[in-house]
Amino acid sequence: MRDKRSILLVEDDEVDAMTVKRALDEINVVNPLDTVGNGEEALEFLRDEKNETPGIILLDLNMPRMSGIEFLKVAKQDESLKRIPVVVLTTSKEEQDKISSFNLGIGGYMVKPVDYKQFVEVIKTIDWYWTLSELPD
Amino acid sequence: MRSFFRDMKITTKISLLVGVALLLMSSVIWVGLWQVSTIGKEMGTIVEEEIPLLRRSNTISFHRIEQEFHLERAIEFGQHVGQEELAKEPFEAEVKNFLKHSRAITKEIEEQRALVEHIYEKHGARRTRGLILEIDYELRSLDKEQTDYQSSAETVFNLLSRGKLKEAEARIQKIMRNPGEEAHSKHFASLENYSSSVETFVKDSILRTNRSRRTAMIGLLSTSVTVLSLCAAIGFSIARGIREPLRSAVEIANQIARGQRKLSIQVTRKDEMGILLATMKDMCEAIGSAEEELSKSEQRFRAVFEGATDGVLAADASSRKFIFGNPRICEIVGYPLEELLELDVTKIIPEKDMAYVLEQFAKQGRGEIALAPDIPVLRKDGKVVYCDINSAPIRIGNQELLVGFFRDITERKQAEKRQAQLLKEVEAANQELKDFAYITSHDLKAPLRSIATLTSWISSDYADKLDEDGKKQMELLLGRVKRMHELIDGILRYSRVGRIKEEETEVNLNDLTRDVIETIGVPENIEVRLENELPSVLVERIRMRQVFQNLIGNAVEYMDKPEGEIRIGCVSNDDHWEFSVADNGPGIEDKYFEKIFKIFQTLNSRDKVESTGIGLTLVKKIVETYGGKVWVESEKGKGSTFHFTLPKEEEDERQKVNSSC
Repeated sequence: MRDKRSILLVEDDEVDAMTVKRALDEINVVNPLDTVGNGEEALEFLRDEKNETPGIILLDLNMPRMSGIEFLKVAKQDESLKRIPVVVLTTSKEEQDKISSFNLGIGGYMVKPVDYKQFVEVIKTIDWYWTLSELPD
Repeated sequence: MRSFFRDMKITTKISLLVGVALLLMSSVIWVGLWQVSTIGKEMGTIVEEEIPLLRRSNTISFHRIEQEFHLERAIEFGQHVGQEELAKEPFEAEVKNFLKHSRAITKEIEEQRALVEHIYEKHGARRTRGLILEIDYELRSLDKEQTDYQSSAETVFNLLSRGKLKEAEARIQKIMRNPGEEAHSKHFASLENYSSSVETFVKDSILRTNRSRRTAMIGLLSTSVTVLSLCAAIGFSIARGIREPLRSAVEIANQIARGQRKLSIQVTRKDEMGILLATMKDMCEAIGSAEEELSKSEQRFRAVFEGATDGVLAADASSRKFIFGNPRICEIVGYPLEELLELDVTKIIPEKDMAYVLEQFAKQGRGEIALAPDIPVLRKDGKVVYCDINSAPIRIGNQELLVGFFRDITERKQAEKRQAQLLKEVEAANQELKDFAYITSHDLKAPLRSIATLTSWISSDYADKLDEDGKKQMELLLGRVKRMHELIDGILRYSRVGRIKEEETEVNLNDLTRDVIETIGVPENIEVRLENELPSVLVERIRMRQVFQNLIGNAVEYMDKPEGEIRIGCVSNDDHWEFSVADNGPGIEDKYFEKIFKIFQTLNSRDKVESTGIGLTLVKKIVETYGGKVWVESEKGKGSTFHFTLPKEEEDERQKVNSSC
């Protein structure tokens, strides 16, 4: 990822979170990783002055309390949050999820492969892309 | 003969009557005239000839009287002639007068004799000859008498003139009447006889004339009577000839008026009345047939009217009051017919809907809509039912009517409501199922994923701590996890079929099959061949893909021969296509033919061949959703052929061309 900005992972499943972390480590991503369990916690985290604004949000869709889509709806209305790129990282292949997500201006939609190796490839791709892409300050 | 008269035309009869009447009239007149002339002639004779005869006999009487008078005076004077000179002149004067009258008598007798002769000549043939002869005889007697008398008188005169009184005396006694004797009695007997003969003759003439007249009268009378009778008879016959058929005509008219259409009266005449009667009979029969036709037509339409499942209700166009209706409309609105006919249109439409209803009818009248839909109709019991109403204006006689055809759609509406309700429920259920399926698969898969991930981490992180068994177990673990994942996906796919309706498009099966073959990745030792041209069908692409993918995929998967052959074909039948996927693989035993289509059924254990056991089940479900059938023919060791059918539907021209597959 670009610069040294942190990565915010919004994911409720522990194993999935571990998988992301492990993958990032495997491809030697040095950016700090913050993990929250659902949309609500994500918003809290983002609005907390103490926390650094992440350079990218990896967003799962199926979460308790506040789902990914719901989070997006709020975040993309928020002046201070809406420019943070969001890449959806989900198991869902549902067309509706894709539509809703892209309607809310996501920066990528990745389906989590079952196979770990493939998963690493996906993370690698996200890293490469978002390293290349410019970001506003 | 009778029928001849009966069949004679009335005009002919009347002409005949007139002709006969004229004929007889003229003959009566002729007879009358003839009689009149005869009588006239007779009267003429009497007047001209016979009465003068009578008159002339009187003349003779007159002269005779004069004669006698002058004779007496002459004798008187003659007796004094010898004594007195004065007596001579008057004596001669008297003698002269006496002779004058004598000569007159003689002349008269002559003339009368001539007259009688004339009468005898002229009428002697017809008249009483005897009388005429007697008259002549009397005249001759008279003549003789007169001659005698005259000569006697002359002798006397002679004697007296010579003064021979005494010789004269005897003769004077002879010719002079005695005192106290009636004049003309002695020497006038003949004259009397003659007079009476003439009188008799004249009387006879008059009698004859009277008789003639009487005869004439009788003749005239009888002729008149005959003529009148004949005329009466003919007239009567004509009248009867008219009255009788007229009566028949009246009877026929009465029968017609009473409603009889098969008449009992026979027509046998052929004259005008006969024609009239025959025509009336024809008319009656024509009326009868027309009435029958009308009645049949009425019955037909009445049957339709009475038995119609739609209500029919007619209202007067201006007053909107109801004029007639059929039993069904009474059922629909709940009013018995008599009550319904008291009402008008406003009474059967609920107040609040009046404006809407009138607008619908106006639209229909303008031709904008075919019928007025969903019209609320207020029943007698207050309930509101819904009808589709088709109305049409008609004209009967002078009355303009609006006829409405009511189709009770209440049931349909209720059915529609139920259907909408059911649809909503189904959709809700569907959605639930969809959510359920999705969530289920997602939530079932999540832990699987974790298991897989963790297992692979353990395998790699702790590889050095695991022995062969350990590694094997990890492998098996991963395998099972994958299997479960696929099973879940399979269930999800299976549940989607039929529930999730994709768009039906025209799918060219040749292209699809080739696509599937490529996607599967057929190994080189297996040849996949399309035996004939596959048709294009109107289906959901994804489903058809799944079918072919599974069938071809199975054939590839289970191929046990070094040179594999997969043949895909299609046969076109009347109402369906029959597709086949044939392989020369291991084949299937009969007893498993049914089993293999069951869900999760595999022929081999999953350890030998990873198979969800869903493929064929999916194929079966998809094919059956389209109304087709699927089955297998196989010979163990030789190969299998999977068949499935797809029904043909209404397709466009292009399909029909392609349907010869």
